[in-house]
Amino acid sequence: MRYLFIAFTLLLAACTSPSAPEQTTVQEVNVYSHRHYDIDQALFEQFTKETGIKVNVVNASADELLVRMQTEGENCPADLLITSDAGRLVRAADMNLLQASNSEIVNQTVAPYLRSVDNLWTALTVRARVLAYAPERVDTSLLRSYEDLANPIWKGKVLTRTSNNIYNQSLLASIIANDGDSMAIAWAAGVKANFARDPQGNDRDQVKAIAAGEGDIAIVNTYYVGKMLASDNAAEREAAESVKMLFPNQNNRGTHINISGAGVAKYAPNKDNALKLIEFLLRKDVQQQFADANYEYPVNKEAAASDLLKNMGAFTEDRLPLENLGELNARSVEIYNEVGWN
Amino acid sequence: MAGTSTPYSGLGKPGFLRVRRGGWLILATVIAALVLTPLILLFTNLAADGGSFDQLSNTQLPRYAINTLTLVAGVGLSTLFLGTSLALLTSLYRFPGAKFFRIALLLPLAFPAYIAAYVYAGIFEYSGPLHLIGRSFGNNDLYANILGMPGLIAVLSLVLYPYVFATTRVAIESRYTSYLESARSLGLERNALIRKVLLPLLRPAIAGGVFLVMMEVLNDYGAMKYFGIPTFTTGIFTAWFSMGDLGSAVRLAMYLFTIVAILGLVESWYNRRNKVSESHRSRPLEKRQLRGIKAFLATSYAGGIFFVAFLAPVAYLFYLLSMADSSHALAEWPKLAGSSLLCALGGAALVLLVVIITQFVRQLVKSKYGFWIGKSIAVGYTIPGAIIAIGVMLFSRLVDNTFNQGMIVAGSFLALLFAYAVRFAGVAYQPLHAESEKQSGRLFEAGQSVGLSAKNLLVKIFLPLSRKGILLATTLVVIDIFKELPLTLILRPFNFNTLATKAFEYADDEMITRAALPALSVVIVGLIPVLLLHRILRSR
Repeated sequence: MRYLFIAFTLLLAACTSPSAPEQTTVQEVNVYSHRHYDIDQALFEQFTKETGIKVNVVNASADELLVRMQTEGENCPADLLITSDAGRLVRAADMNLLQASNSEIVNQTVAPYLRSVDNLWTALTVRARVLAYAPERVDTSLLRSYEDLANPIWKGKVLTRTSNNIYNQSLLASIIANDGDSMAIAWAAGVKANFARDPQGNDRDQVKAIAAGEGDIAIVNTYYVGKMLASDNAAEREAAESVKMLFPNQNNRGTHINISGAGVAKYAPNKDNALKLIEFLLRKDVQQQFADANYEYPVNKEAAASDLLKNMGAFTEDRLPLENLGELNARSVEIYNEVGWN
Repeated sequence: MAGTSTPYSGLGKPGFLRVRRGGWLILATVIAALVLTPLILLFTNLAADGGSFDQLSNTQLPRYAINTLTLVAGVGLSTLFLGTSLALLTSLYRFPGAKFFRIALLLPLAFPAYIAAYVYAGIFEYSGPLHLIGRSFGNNDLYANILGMPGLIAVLSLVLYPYVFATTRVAIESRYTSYLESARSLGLERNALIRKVLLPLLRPAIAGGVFLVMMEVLNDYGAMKYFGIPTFTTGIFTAWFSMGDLGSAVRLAMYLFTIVAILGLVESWYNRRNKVSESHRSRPLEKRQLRGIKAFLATSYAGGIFFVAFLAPVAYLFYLLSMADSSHALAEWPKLAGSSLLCALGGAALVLLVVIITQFVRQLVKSKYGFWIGKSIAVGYTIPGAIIAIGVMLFSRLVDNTFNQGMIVAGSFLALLFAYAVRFAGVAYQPLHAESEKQSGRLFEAGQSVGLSAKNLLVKIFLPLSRKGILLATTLVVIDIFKELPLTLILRPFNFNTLATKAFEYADDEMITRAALPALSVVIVGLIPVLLLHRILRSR
């Protein structure tokens, strides 16, 4: 009986302690976010300080958040969905989970290819998918574009993570959009034939594999290299310093980019506050911190990129509307499966 | 008169008792139904969706199947070897450190698999500690890429072997010794005794441990993903979450479930075939002292495994911690630890409530139906956490819509606790079921014949007799929830973080040094229930 009593008491205590956000007149905004960086939390706190609007956050992967929003339906408390790629925002729009919101600030700050035509979502930051390479082993005159990665001269040299990864998926989506479906299949098969090893690990692991000599060229996001260069771990900094970065396709369409972005939830109970939060995150001074802390590029062109990114050099970005990437995402997964890119 | 000697209860009481039992049976049925509804909702929802199966056609399926089976077989065999050999060594022999290793070798249980995956990859990687040490001695080649299948099997085996170690140890130390004594009286020499009598007797315990290990393997997601091994489990995620292809996801879930069901059937068939009754009177098999080279080898083996499975990864986490700026994380720590504890204790309380009532009713009614009610609640243990999360969401929405109250249950802490109950009732089922099996029912029947009410049977007989089982179950569930990731991640309310979710988020953002503090906390706080587990095992 004692145990049962203890069990009941614990259960009661557990049920009563952490409560859901109170549904009183307190101004608040509920965020479902895939981004779980410390800087986000700090900026949310700044937003609360400036506006008095409390920010409630649930973090999980975007895929899971979408399923959660879909399941919760009209009762869904989320006001704002924040993801770290365009593909998931497009899917959220397809699943009818977002609503249009017209904001002058968004329209003026964000270039049209970085937001949805229907005003369903907008980019907040930009990250570029680039090539890291071993300078002493790679002749860059032969490596100018993503397409060059499929050239058999790089057999046994190319490193990348698995095709589960959304950034690899949207890269292939951009190749489908630019080069066509059959070229994209040939590209994926060609790159796969050049793998130095089976796809595995995360972006940092690919850079370390170059330093270790396992391969020569890695497909990585700029901000992971930025984080490695600023790492707590001296050995990791050293590995990142031993590689060089290359922005592909500078002679034609530009380097493939992806975004962190946000959209107002369809059944948002605090729609106005959600919009306020988006506009806050786009403000020049906030963009500076937002992008800096995570080595991303600001979408507000008035804000400057971090010194570290500036050192990597300016580049032309592929202005393919990000909407197209989302639409081609499923097809890109199919192609990866077809050619057997893990 | 003869008539008066018939017990007066013979006429009135049984009918009365049946009614009371009926109430309890309904209660157990309702509880089981509650626990099972999310799963039923899930499968009906998925099945209704239909969906195409083109996506996963010929290329993916064989690869998923081969990888899944290789992984399960690989980890199963290596934990079988590690767990059994270490249990035999520490329970049957005396050697320097033997006593210490009996506890120490349980400790890796506190390591969540996804943290272990990052940790071992980090130890061996280029620019990892091993490499740096090598370099300072002029050797630049002291690193290895352990990502991939063999590495994953090794990592999972190192964190999961304690399941086999624990179950086997318990079996060696507290049971069967009368068999050994009669065998000995027939003149069998000790080594032959161990080989011919003890090992066969241990089979059910070993099989039970290996079965638990296999379930844990099939439920892992983080480690598989990081190591780049596509299996049925990762396939479900890709199909459902990345491609929105529910049809494929449900098919894959069915395949996974089939594997689990086959393993479960094999285990219970095997254990029925090898069932032995226990005796409590005999003394345990006395330990033999090892000397010289044998003692040295024994200490090296146990010490080596302890070093590789626990000391090295913990040291590596401390090493990472020393590099990171943890001031931010440190300020958050009490809140994170509090949330973790709240989840673990609240979840465990709910799990025990479910399992105690269903097991009590099984004992009370002694029918096939009661047995199956008791067993049915265990099914959630065989289903990956993220899938259960979706089922619980569907269920919460159903409840909310029924009562037309907006979002009350959905997105609440209660929903999260309920999800733990669905997922982990199976963990508590095993020890409680075993305990109530042992009760032989005689006391219970005696209680019934003197007219104890069902409530008194529960309080005065069932609960006290199941004490150890309850304690063991609580400990196991607390350990599991403490390490748990997907359910907590997906179902948690606003502004709610635990040590496990925080560790995962940092690691997922490729900020492993920042992950060190919460990860280390998961392991160190997790040691408390593991040490408790040791005490329980010892006292059995």
